[in-house]
Amino acid sequence: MRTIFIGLLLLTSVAQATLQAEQINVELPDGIRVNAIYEPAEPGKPVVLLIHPLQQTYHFSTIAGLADYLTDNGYGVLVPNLSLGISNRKQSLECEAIHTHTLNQDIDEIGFWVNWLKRMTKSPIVAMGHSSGALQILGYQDEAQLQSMLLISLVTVGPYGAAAIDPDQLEMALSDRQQGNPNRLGQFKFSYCNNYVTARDTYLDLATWDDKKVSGQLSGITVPVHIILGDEDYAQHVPWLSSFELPNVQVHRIEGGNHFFSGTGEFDLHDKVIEILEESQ
Amino acid sequence: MIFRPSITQYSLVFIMITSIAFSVLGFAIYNEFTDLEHKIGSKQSAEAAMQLRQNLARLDRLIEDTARDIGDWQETRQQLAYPAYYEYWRDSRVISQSFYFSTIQAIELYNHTGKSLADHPREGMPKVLDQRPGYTIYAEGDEHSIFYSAPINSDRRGAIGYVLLKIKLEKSLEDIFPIQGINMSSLRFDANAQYVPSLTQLVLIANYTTKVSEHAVALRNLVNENLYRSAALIVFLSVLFIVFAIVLIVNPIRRFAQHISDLESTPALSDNARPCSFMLKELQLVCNSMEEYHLKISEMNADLDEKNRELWSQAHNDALTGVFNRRAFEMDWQHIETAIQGSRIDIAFMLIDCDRFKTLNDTYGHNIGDKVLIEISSSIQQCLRDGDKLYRLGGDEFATLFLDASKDEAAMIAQRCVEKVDSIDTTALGISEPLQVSIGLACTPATNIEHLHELHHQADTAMYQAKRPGKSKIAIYDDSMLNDSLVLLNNHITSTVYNAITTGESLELHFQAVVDCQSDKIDCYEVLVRINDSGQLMYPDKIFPVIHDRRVEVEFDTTVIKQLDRQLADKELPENAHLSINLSGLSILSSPMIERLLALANRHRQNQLCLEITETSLMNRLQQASENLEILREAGFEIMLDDFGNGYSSIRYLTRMPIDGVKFDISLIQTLNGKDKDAVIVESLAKMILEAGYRLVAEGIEDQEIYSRVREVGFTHAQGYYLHKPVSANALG
Repeated sequence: MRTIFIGLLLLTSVAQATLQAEQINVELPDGIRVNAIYEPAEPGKPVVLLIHPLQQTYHFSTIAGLADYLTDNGYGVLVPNLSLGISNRKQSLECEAIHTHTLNQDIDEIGFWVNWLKRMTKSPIVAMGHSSGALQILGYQDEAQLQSMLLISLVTVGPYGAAAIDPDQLEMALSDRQQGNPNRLGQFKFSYCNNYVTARDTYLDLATWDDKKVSGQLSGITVPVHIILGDEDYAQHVPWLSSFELPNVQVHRIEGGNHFFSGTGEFDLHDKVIEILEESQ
Repeated sequence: MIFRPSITQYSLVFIMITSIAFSVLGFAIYNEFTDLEHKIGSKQSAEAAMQLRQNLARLDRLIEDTARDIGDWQETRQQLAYPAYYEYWRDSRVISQSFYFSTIQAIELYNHTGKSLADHPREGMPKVLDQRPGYTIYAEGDEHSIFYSAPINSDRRGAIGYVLLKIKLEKSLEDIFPIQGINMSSLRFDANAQYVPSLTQLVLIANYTTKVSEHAVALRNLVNENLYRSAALIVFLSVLFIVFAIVLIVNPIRRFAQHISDLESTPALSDNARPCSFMLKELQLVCNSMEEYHLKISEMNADLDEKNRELWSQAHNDALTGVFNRRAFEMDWQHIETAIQGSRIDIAFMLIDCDRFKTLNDTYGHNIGDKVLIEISSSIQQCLRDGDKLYRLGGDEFATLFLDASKDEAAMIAQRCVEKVDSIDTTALGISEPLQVSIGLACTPATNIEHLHELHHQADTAMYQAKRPGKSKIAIYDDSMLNDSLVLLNNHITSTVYNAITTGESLELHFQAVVDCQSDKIDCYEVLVRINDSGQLMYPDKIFPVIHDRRVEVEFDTTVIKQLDRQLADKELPENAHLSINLSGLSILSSPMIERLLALANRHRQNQLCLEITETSLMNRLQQASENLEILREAGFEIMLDDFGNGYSSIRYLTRMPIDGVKFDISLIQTLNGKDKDAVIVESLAKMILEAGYRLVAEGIEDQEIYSRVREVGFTHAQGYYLHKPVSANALG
């Protein structure tokens, strides 16, 4: 987990200098203002909605690198900072910060940005997310608005993997909600955070995204779904994903790639993404 | 008396001066350092004030930065938008942020209307913010809290909320911005509920004490430490100095002084008995030199003592006889007079005079005379008791003092002396006459102070008595002797005698007949001298002591001869009278006298003249006397040896001297009345002289009996009161 956290920080700092597209600042329906980077696509090419993992920003390196690469290759990109309940959020949210937003709220913001793109461009929209960002895209229900989904380093919440939780805490949270304390704050283990501070309800909203729910969600999606996994992504429940087979879901394995596709894995990831996008056209 | 401090006192004074000098120096250094401290303190105060202002400005910036960081923090905006978990966020999230510093007492967020996001704001934080942006200072006990509020702005909507910070003022300065020049615990601000736009204005109401610089403290400690060390060093050196002074100087000098004192009291110590030994080389050299010097002094003293003894001996001892001299006598007598005066002891004074010493001296010479004196003094000393001293007062006169001796004991010692001298073998000395001494004794208890002073004179008087013909050789003074002594000492008698000698006016010649025993007729007249002293006749017993004492025998004889010559010339004496004239020994030796006698004989040829001389007078210069007597005999004088038996009664004189007859002394004549050996001897002697052809005259014929006796013995002539009393020329008719 520490490796993941350090990797996230490094990748975020590296990517900050690369984004040079238009800054977007809009107000959500609940009044929270959000930021995003938008670069229209070249004609005939789709615009990619890039969703960063939970707590991160569009400066997250894997996202930022993909955005640059896609832009360089004529693809349009919209890289929002999910608000996480914070107006004009520009920084990643620490584990210890109070996570008042739910996963559904994040999915709603994805819907907001899909709609925003619909208003801004005629280009097809490809939704692409990394890690828990991929999970949030998977939760987006209106997939018909999309050309396809690219789920990079997709995670599921469970005892293992990049979105690991503590089963006892899960049980406790469930018990508290049943006892009528859904909004009671607690410190939970989630992903690389050992003290993820949030309410029971919010925690349970995340914790329910286990293998079973993900499988069910994937099976219900009608647009092509591409899952890109690194061979060396030890944060992922790889065996499960490797054995996953659905007609509209295609799993792409990148040799030597880790969870963040850092190093030489980044180029392989970019090539794979371009390859998928080109094949989708 | 001059006060002379000791070395210890000098040392103490030196140490005191050193201590005072050090104290003055130390005080000056301390004062200068104190001034320096004040200057440094003033500078530090200014620097402290400046530091306080700077650090208040820094605190100001810190608070403003913190407020800004809080405002910029996305979670702050999250709380403003969704404050459901605000209090948890405030109490857990905020305090874990980097902008949070330790002296923040509370942070509170307020919405754009100024209402606190918290249902329960932190203690002291208002529910509704009514403070304008800036600082408000509140006193809380001794300390103060800063309340700082700042708006949280939105890019588009202005202030979307406010943050209020409560900060411990003094604690912030102490913990975060400590000021080295200030005792932070003393820092207080005189303010309450006071608004200030900037914290730097608090300098004006700050109270504090400045901190003494560590360097100054270190320097002060260093100075104090060095002063204490120096003082300790001074004390140590002083003690060391005193110890060294005592050990190396004072004690050695005292020992040296003691050594000198020992040398003074017991000079023998210089003989390595207690050699001086000192740690100091110089003192050892001085001591060695002193001992050498002392040794030389001792040797010189020994020489001087020897010389003094010699001088004392020369001064107090007679060079000839070895007995004490007159100086010693006078000193001893003065001492004795003072010492015993008033005590109960008896004291006797014995005066000894050698009989006829002058004659012996003149006869045999000074060498023999000296031997006689040596022999006599030695004999007398042998007779004295242990401790009795013998003094030679001059010439042939000796004296001794008997302390605590009775008159009888003194007389007995005197008798031993007389007998001892009598027993001297004079032939060994080269003289034929026996030696005799006359002793005068005077005794008195020391309580009789007057007699004590007169003792010498009394002994002298007694000795005069002893020397008188026919007297015992030992005379013990009594007051009856006073008249005799007065003769010698009475100026009137002396002047009368002298007047008679010089003028002859008062001199009277009396004549006593000498009777021929065969015919009972007057054969001649002995010329006797009297001096008419204003009608009173002065007899020979008073005249001759003066004559002999003044040594005017020749002058007196000359006067007598002149008087006789005149009376013969004047026919005052019977015609053809046979006259016998007493002549002293000195006159016989006097050539003028011989001439005068020859002239007398020549002028009065009709008168047979006879000269009576004593054997004593002949002892001096016997040869000369014999020659003169021979001349006189040739001129017609008869020579009679007078007073035979009173002196040495030497037969030798009879044989050697040119005499015609012998006149026995009255002491011999008186023995003839007895039946003892003396009478036999005298009678035999008389017969022997008669048989030798001499005329023999008996003196002192006082009665018929003795006259018969002398006639029986065979005396040719007799003389005495029984036969004829002395009468003047007129009575001779």
